[in-house]
Amino acid sequence: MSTHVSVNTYTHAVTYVTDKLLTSIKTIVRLSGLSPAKLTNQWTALERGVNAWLQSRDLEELHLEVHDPVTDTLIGRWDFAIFYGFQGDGAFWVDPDAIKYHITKQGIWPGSCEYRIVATTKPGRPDVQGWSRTTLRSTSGFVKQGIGTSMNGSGLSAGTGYWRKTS
Amino acid sequence: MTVVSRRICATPARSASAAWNVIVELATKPGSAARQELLDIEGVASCLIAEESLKTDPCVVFGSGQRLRVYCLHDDEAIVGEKANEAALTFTPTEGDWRMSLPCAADDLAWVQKSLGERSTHVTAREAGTAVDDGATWAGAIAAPAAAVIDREAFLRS
Repeated sequence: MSTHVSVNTYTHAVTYVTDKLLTSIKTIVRLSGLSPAKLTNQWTALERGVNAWLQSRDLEELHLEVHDPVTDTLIGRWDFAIFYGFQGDGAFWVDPDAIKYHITKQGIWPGSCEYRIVATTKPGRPDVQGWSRTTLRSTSGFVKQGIGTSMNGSGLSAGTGYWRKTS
Repeated sequence: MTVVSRRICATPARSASAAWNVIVELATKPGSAARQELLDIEGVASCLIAEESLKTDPCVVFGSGQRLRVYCLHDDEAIVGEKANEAALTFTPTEGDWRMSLPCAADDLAWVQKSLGERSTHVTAREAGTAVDDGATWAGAIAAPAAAVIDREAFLRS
């Protein structure tokens, strides 16, 4: 875990959490056996949207949704729920080890799987170039496992969890 | 060889892609093919900056002229900015025969190299903590044996 403390503006927290959300998703994709290339191809648009909706406090959750391209059914999903408790004098930190630990428990996804990044936002949020409306796939037959707060930008934080198939 | 360094404020003072665009503007001329090539790899480069790969290992631009090393500042150093040096260069390191080497965590090296190879002919990735392979060693190894060969028959005839 890396931590630093200073007096930060909300914009600093937004920039920090945006970076850590995207790099966390990159780590999940890679460790789960998929290529992060698709994520980096869309990096600028993803960064623009996440940053804008954190700044306007419209972002509720960011999801990494993995599906089978043949059956179009859900294979797995990671959620980052955003908490808007910005203080201005707290620490910035990220805990990638918690995510890595749970990926090893979850196992890797088949290499044929595809993935996308989906944002759940409040109604009336501003439109952002490169993003379009969509619906998340059904989580029927899956159960959600919470792993706690994985990053914190002086109170602007993300609670992390993932969906696994019920056995 | 002359080496010039720059330190760019990144997260949380700037987004990763904004920091990359500062590097691109430093290293290239507006409208040049090099600028377009570096903009084409913006996603991968931004990911490396967001991972803080340029915090202790530089992005290196080298070739026919002076060598440029670019580091990124993060956290308090980026906010305070006292160590930053983003001044424009007096030369363009991406003119002529140039190459760029980006540092990368060992775990990410394979997909980063593949992704860069699909978009760029001048930019490669190296494992963080390793030296930049600028081709000098390779060229020397080829040249040395040729210089040491003795034509024995010609020597004995003389």
